[in-house]
Amino acid sequence: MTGNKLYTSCALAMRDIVNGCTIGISGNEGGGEPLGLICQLATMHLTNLRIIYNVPVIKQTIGSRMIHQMISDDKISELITPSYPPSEAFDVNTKMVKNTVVNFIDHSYLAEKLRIKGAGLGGIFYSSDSIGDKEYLGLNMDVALIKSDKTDTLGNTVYSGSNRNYSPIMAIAAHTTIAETNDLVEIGTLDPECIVTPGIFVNRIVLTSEKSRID
Amino acid sequence: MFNTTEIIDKALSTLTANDVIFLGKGIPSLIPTRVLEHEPLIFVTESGLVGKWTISNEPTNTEDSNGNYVTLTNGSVVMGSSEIAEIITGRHIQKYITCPDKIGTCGSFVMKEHGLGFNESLTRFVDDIICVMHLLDDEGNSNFVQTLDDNRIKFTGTGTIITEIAVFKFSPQGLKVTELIPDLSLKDLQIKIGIEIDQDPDMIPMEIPKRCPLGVIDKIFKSGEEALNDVPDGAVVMIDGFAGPGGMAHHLLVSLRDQGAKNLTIISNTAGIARVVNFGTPPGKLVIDHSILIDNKQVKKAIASYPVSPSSSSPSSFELAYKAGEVELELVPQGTLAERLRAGGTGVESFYTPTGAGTLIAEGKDTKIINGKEYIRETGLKADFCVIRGHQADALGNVTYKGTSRNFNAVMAPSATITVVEVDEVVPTGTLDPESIVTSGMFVDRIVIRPKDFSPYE
Repeated sequence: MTGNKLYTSCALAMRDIVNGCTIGISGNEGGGEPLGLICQLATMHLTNLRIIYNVPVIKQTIGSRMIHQMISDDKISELITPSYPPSEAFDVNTKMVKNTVVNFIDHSYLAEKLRIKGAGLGGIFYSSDSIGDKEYLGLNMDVALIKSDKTDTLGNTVYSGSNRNYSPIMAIAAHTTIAETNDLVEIGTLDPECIVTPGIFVNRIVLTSEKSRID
Repeated sequence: MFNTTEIIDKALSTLTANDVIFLGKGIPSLIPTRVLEHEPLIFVTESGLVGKWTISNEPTNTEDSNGNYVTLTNGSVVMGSSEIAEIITGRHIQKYITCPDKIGTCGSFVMKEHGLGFNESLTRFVDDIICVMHLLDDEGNSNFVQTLDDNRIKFTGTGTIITEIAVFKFSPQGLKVTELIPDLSLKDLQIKIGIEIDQDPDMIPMEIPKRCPLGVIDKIFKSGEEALNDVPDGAVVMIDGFAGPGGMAHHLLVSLRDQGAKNLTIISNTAGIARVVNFGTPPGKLVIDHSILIDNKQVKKAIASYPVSPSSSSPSSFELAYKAGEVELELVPQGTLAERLRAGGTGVESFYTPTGAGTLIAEGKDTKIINGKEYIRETGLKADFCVIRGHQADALGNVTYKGTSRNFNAVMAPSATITVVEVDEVVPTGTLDPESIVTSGMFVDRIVIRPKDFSPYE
């Protein structure tokens, strides 16, 4: 298989996302958010999306603004997140924001559910005293939008500092992974001992535009 | 009344050497500023930092849990969210220091943010929770309440609450005052926080101990003999390596043979076939592998994916011992072995895998049909000791590997009580790239440098 993974724009890389898709977006408090991909997603005419995204709580980021915009535009039916920023529209009783259901999940369990999916397991049980026999199942993800620091043309990827967060695990879990990278490098540039996400998990690559870097 | 720095010092006084501490948002994010670079403490944050750091005035590529730019201290590591999760669920965290929004008299607390963060798993998998918080919020309302707001997610655990005038202990049984500043009565405290609260029978005046650094990390042992001296008879020992001599801790294997512990259960990819395969071995020599333990009658059982020689005409020591009825074998598919090792280190008791379903491997195991496909339930593996082979380590125990020598090393290290690594060299802390450290020092207990004149051949 030799297929070219490079796409000249976010729009081209994301054009086959359809209504009802489950989409994972990397990021932690603004670090490691694929801004170009998120902004493109917000402009697409899609509905009934299921979004897995760690919504920032300390600061407002472009990512969180776009997610709120998409909720207002009624594009998201379910938001799966470890945290949700205080929002006047959020009803704690119904766990709804407008027409979007918010499903809270602890970071540890979210990461593990993604790994269960990525590793092909059927489910896991923690060795725990109190909660005991609760089974954790995998979480399906059609598309992962991740943020890379450097990616080579095969898709091998490294991250930068705490921007790593959910990118590696989402890349493994998703059916299609789209990496927005700051730096597209030649094959052989990255040290094989230091590559965090092997190219087999990265299907499409888009270079961060100067514009979304400034934002 | 004590200030925030003093509250932090009070929290630090509850820590012991080699603790791994998860830091929440708010006041806890200031804690690394009060700790010396070489102290044997490892901090972990939601954002993926593991180690120590200083808050930076300039933008960096790294942020702490509070969104401050930070500069990592030498020997710190960056991890992804799933690795942070594994550290928590694998019970590698001794203490969780957090700053709740409100505490109820029931002993539960709520956080400022909606949602969960890591709090549900932290309160479940960490036994000791330390809350550092102010008595009153910014509007002057008490942070201690009779009843918690039902609309918010409550977390329950056991631990200590440190405030500017009092220390409390909390548990599902409720709240009690254990320390109070000398010039205040319990009644004064109750008026201040607006709730009735009991004092512990052993209540003492609240003092802030002078910040006393916890010493220096030292994991380097002089020899394999010294590092494996305390392996008891009947121990479960993980041994890294793939099939050939690569990635095998030959020096430690010799030390374990010379140490002589009996009735060992060994967990390894093979049960020693490097010797019969002899990839790259000079003529007339035999490479050191598990066989030296089997020949020395130290092994009772092997858990392995590739226990026999590829050629029936040159059987391995384990094969001969098995045929003679001297050893037991648990055969595990290779991917399942890696997953069982990972489970052991990450708090997963068992998992469903499709590998081996409908074969002899499935005998006696639970099965389940998921989406029309059969899965079998496999359990996690843990060990008392683990001997691994690294390339470079720093004094904190951070390890990198060389080429395919990595194999099972990285997945075994977190699964054993005591992990001993044999490395080519110990490098100054800060030499290893924090982005490229494969095994964090929190998983490595003892470091042995492979002697320069050591030969892996006998």
